[in-house]
Parts: sequence; structure tokens; C-alpha cells
Amino acid sequence: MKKDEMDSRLKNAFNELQNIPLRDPQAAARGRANFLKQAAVFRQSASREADRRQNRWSDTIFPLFQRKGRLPVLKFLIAIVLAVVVLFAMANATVYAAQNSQPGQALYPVKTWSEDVILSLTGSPQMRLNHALDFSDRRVTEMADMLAAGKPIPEGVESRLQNELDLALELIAGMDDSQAIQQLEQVRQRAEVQYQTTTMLMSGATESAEPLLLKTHACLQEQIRLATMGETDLPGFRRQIRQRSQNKGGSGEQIPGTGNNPQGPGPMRPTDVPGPSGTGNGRGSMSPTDKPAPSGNGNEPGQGGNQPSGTPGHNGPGSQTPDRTPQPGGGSGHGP
Amino acid sequence: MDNQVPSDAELLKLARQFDHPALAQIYDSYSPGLYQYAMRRLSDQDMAEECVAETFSRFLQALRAKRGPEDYLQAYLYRMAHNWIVDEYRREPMQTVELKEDRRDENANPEVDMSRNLQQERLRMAIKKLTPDQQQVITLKYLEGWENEEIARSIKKPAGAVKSLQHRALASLQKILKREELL
Repeated sequence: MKKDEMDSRLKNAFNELQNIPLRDPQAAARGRANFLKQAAVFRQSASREADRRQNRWSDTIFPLFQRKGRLPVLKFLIAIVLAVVVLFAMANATVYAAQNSQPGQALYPVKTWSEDVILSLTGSPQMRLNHALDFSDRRVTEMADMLAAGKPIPEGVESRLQNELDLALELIAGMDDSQAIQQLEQVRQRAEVQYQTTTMLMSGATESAEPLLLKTHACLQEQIRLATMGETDLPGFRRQIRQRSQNKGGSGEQIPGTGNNPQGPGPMRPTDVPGPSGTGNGRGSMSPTDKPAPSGNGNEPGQGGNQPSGTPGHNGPGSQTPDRTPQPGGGSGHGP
Repeated sequence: MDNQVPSDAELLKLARQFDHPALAQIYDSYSPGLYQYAMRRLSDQDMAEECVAETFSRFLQALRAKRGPEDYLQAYLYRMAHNWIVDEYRREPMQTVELKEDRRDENANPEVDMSRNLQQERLRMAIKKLTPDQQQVITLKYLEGWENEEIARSIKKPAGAVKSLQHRALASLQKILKREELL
């Protein structure tokens, strides 16, 4: 049998299969009805599911976006959110602009407030210390700028500087030994720079500005003295810082190793601060009753040490920096 | 072929929401062709009806499960029907050729009818012996009159593969029928 012939016979066979009996109309109608019935069941099921989904949202935010009647609520919420965003942006801009303000200017309180917020929100003692030192640098710069502009320095600038320096020392006193010694060195170096700056400012200052600068000078001297002492006598440093905190009436920072031990050093009067002459007790602990040694190099320490009302010493010739006290091994102090 | 549905995509979009008119239109458009297709392969009216019903039921279930076709609804439905038939073949053991009453030709010559029925059944049996893809290609090509591209969409294979399947299926079929002495 040839292939073509076989194909034609196959085609005929297929043609035979084309003829099929007609479909029973009733069976077809039943099939259609069943199909549509099943579709209706599925439609209801889908509708219920959609309702459930909608109900989950309806109790929350979704209706605000769906229902026409509640559009004002949505608008109100959007307005509040926008207002908060705008206020936040304006506050940020104000704080940013205030960073360059000077004492006496309208934005200066914003600047100091933002500094206080930063200090209170910073948890890490190391970071707080860094901030406190940065802010103290700002105060000295502000003083220089005010003097350069021929304006009087408000009292608040000096007191803020003193508070910032006190905070720095209190933070260091709360650190562990190795970290504290490292930070004391940093604090001393920065205080020495600030001391030099104020010394230069004093040379060109008006009479009215001089008392405040002297006060600042004394404050920095005390800072340097304490930092130097802490580098060699950390327990003594901690005792003094704790005593200062108690004298100020503040709780101060937590200072380890100097708890309320009745056997510990007794209360220290502000006048008990040793003088910056470098003739102190050398290495080792300093007794709270130690008296400042007289200076032999012209640096007369202020009577009263960290007492703000004390008269700071004037720099003798050849020296613009305070002596470090106590100095290991004694001897005359070194400039920063 | 039935091309009464203007846009499968539109109909299917409505069908996914179980829109009654759209589903009715789909059923009316494709159900007759599917029935004929099932009848040609099964030669049993009840089974053909069952095949159609099951095909449309699976279609609805697919829609409910967010599946089903995006377009080419006809190809999808015939694929569903083919799968059902193949499953049915697997469930049912290979039947012997059985002569069935032709309800259409009640007044025809019984001897001619018998001979024709016998030939039809043998051809169906021969087709059953092909692979499922070959069965589908042969049925859609020579019994339903589809083009290769349409068959390709239905069996989800390239048009070239359809041609290849078609040649192999014809060769196999001829061998089977020759062995059965039908050709």
C-alpha cells in the first residue's frame, strides 16, 4: 500500500469520526445551569471574603481613604502631619541658625538650650565629655569675639564655661582609671590652650571686661591644676571632684572609688586647693589640709582656688601659663 | 473552531469576578465545541457531558484560586478537557471495541452503521494508544481542524514541536491501524 493511499484512507477514517450524535439539549441545559450555579456559589464566597477583608480595614484607617463623607477627617489629619513637619523643619532651621549667634543676640538662648539638650540626651560619658569640651571652646571663642567687637561679655558666658569645665572633670572622675588618665591629659591640653587665649585677651581687654576675664583665668587655672593632679594622683583627683560636687550642692557624676566612706578624706574647703606653684606634694595623694605652697616664679594663685570670688594670680614675667600642681617631684611648673 | 468570543481578555477579567453574563457567554461559546471534542474522543454522551462539566468546574476553581488563563481561553479549556480525558483513560482499563447505538441515524442501514461504528471505535482505540500529546495534536488537527499555532498554545509547546508530534503521531497511527487491518 502506498503512503498517499494510506493517508487518504486515514483521512477518511478521521472524517468518519467527525460525525457524532447531536448533543442532548436537556443535558446541555443541565450542564449550563450547574456551571452557573457553581459560579454563583463562588461569587458569594468571594464576596464574603472581600467583606471580611474590608471589615479588617474598616475599623482603622481604610475608611478615611474610601468614604466621601470622611474626607474632611483625612484632610484634617494631613494638615496636622504637615504642620508638625513644617514646625519640626523650622525648629531645626532655627537651632542651626542659632549655632553662630553671640551672647546678647536673640538666638543665643536657643544655642545654649540646644547645647543643654545635647548634653542631657547624650548617654555615653565619653561623648558627653567631648561635647562639654567643645562647648567650653565655644565659650572662650565667644568671649574673644565679644571683646573684638568691643562689646561687654555677659556674666552668663563665664558661668557656663565654668559649668562645662566642671562637668568635664566630673565625667572623667567617673571613668575607669586608664580612660580617666587619658582624658585628663586631653582636658589639660585643651584648658591650657584656652588659658593662653584668655591670657592674650586680658592684655587687650577693657577695664570693664577684666574682672570677668580674671575669673575665667582662675577657673581655667583650677582646671589645669586638677587635671594635672589627676594624671599623677587619680584617687586624690576623684576625692577633690567629689568634694567640689558636694560643695556645689549638686549630685554630680558618679565617681567610683570615692564612696561615702567615713574613713575617707574629710571635707575640703575651697581654700584647701594647692597653689599652682608646682611646689606641692609631688606624686602621691594630696591631703585635703594641704596648703598651697608659695609660688616662686611669680604665679600667685588665686586665694581660694576654685572659689569664683577669689582673686586669681597674675602672671609674672616670663610666664603666661599656670604652673601645674601638684607636680611630680615638685619644682617649678611648666607652661602649657 | 468557535471564535464567537470577541475578547478573551475582557471576558476573563469579568469572569474573575464571577460575573454571571460573562460566564454564561463563555459557557455558550465553548461548551458545544468541547462537547463535540469529548464525544469524538470518548464516544460516550454521558462521559462527554461529564468531561464538559468537569472542564468548566476546573475553570471556575482556577479563577477562584486567582489562577487560570489570562487569554487564549479556548486553548486553556481544551487543554483541561484533554487532561480529564487522559486521566479517564488511565482510570478505565482499555476497553474492547463496543458498538454503540447511533441515535442520530435511527432509519439508517444497520449493516452500514455497524461497519462505520466499528471503524470509528477502532480508530479511537488506535488514538488512545498514542502518547497524550500525540493524541491531543491528532485530535485537534484532524478532528477539530485547528491550526498548528492554536494547537501549540493548547499543549504549551512551540509550533515546531507540534509539527514533529503530528508526524510521529500519524506514523504511529498508521502502524497501529495497519496492524489492526483497518487500513
